[in-house]
Amino acid sequence: MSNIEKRPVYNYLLELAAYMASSARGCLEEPPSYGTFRLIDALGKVLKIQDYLPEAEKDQFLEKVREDIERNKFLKSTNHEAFEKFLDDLILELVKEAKKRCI
Amino acid sequence: MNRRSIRSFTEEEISKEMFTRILDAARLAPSGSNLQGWRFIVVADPHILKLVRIFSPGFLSNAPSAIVVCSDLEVYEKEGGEVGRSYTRIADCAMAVENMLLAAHALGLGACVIRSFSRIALKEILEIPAKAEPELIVALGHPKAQPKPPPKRKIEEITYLNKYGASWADGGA
Repeated sequence: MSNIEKRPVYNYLLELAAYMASSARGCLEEPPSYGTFRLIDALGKVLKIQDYLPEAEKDQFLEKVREDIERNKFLKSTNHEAFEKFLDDLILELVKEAKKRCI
Repeated sequence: MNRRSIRSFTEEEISKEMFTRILDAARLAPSGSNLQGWRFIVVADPHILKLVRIFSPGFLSNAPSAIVVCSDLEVYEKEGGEVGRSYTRIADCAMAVENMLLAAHALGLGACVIRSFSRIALKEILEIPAKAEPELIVALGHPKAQPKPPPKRKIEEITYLNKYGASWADGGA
């Protein structure tokens, strides 16, 4: 086993690659609205990379974003308006944080 | 009537007896010309299940097991004609899956049907031959939570009497 195969973060990235490549393929033939869900679900999975950092190094804002996504992503299939509002609110939160950090 | 699609499960595994009862319900489902061209792969090995899950964007749960429902294309091509190839094989699998869902629910289990997966990945992972096609995945486990029912259309919105568009509720008026 190589050093890369031994490192869990790379295995997680491999999982993420599998998910995103399969999603990209699926989006060619699935209902267009699935793409929105796959993107927000993928964002939650990307942010989960923080699990591989020591607790003290985790970005708490991004962790909260991840938790919000987990809590709200299924609104996509149950309440379109609420899902749209969740995405708008999320974007505004990201804008505020980006401005605060002077990105 | 209170069956729901379950996406949150405990870690408890499903016994072989329960799987057998679910599969028994599936095999007794109706099929076009009684072809029974469905094939079932029970995925209980955690490593294989993880491979299936990561190549299945629609697999949104932590289900400890799954049944991959395939159609045997040879059966439908030889005996089903064009309708069999393009339509009956999918309808048959769907009817078997519905029986699975009801059996699982009767056993106190939770399940969710998944159609968003990479076909070529599943064929490679599960060594599905060229003559078969994965059609649906049923994620299975012991439910952790019972979700609220999603909105459903009323009978009168989707049902007509004697001809399309004639109101069921008003006696066909």
